[in-house]
Amino acid sequence: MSALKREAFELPDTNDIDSVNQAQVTLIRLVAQNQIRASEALKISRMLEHRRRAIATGTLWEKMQELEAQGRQMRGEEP
Amino acid sequence: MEGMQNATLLPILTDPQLMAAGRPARSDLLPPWLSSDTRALVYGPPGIGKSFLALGIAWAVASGTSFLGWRAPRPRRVLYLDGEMGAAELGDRLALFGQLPGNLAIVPHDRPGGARLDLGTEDGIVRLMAGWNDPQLLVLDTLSALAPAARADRDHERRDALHCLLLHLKQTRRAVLMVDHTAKNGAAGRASAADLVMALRPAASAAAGGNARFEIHFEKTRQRVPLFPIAAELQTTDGAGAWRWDAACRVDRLAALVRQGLSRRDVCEALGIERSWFFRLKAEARTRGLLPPKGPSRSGTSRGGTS
Repeated sequence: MSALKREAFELPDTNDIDSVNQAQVTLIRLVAQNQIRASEALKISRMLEHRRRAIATGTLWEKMQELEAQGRQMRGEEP
Repeated sequence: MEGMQNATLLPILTDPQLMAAGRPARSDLLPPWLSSDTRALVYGPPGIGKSFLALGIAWAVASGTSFLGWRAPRPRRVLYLDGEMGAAELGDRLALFGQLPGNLAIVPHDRPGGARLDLGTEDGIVRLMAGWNDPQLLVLDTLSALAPAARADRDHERRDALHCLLLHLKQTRRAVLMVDHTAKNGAAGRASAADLVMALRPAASAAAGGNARFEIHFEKTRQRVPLFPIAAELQTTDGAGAWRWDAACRVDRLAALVRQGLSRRDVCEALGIERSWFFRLKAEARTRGLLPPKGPSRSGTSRGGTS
């Protein structure tokens, strides 16, 4: 196995699902370019997966609050 | 010290602040075990009568009537989500009990034009909440069918979504009754998600097939006093169904509790019975010699030399 070209690398800020997906794509590219090992990428990928779950849960939670507020409005209740 | 408290950003409340905090009121749906923020789980082997029990509970809460000795204080909106039976079988079962209460909405999994709900997904939860009747009790029958991957813990994301829904229901003071099959190890699959767990076990004299007949065992509760097991059976005659439950067993339990010195209120709570049942069962216990005979009434005793 050839030696890694150790360089700092950048991943996108993971603010939403799209940017987490983008970060995963970047990781795969870094492995392909031999900048990081596949095992290292897998560890980072797991971190990103946790981040994706947290974002998905937060998004769902916000959506439920919105639906609840809409329901209250339709029933003529106080917000 | 004040600075330290501010630095933590934890909303630590003093006792008066805690008492004054605007918490939504908790109300009883089917006392003593089902209140507006209960997450209850009913589980048992296939064919024992879990769905019949869930329908009975849903019916009582929706109509403000009694079921197995528990009485709903007033009618509440109930949404029953079916994941296994389907419209035809649900219709047959409901027909046993007469006209459906107006507050009871039922969603069969095979309803025409409706895609199957998966409560382990954002889409499923959004569809549920966008179309529901603002229920005060949500019945999920069964969890395995309505959130399959989340139930089996195979998919973390689906489990997250289901937990999110359960948390939301609790925060908005909506009770949920989850029905589920016994897991391979014989235990409840989702007991950790519930704050009340009812296990259905075959009654001692249960025959294969036929009507629902089981014992209800409360394995996990947050009640101040224990909830005793109940034996229940659905009897059908001429197309009408009627539940029978173990008043006889309760006589023994009531007598034991009275002998322990528990108050009438605590005994009623422990047995999950109404006040009128307390007197009936107590009289029966006296007849059987489980309690001493009734003493002379107060009006008959001499007090203060008034005679």
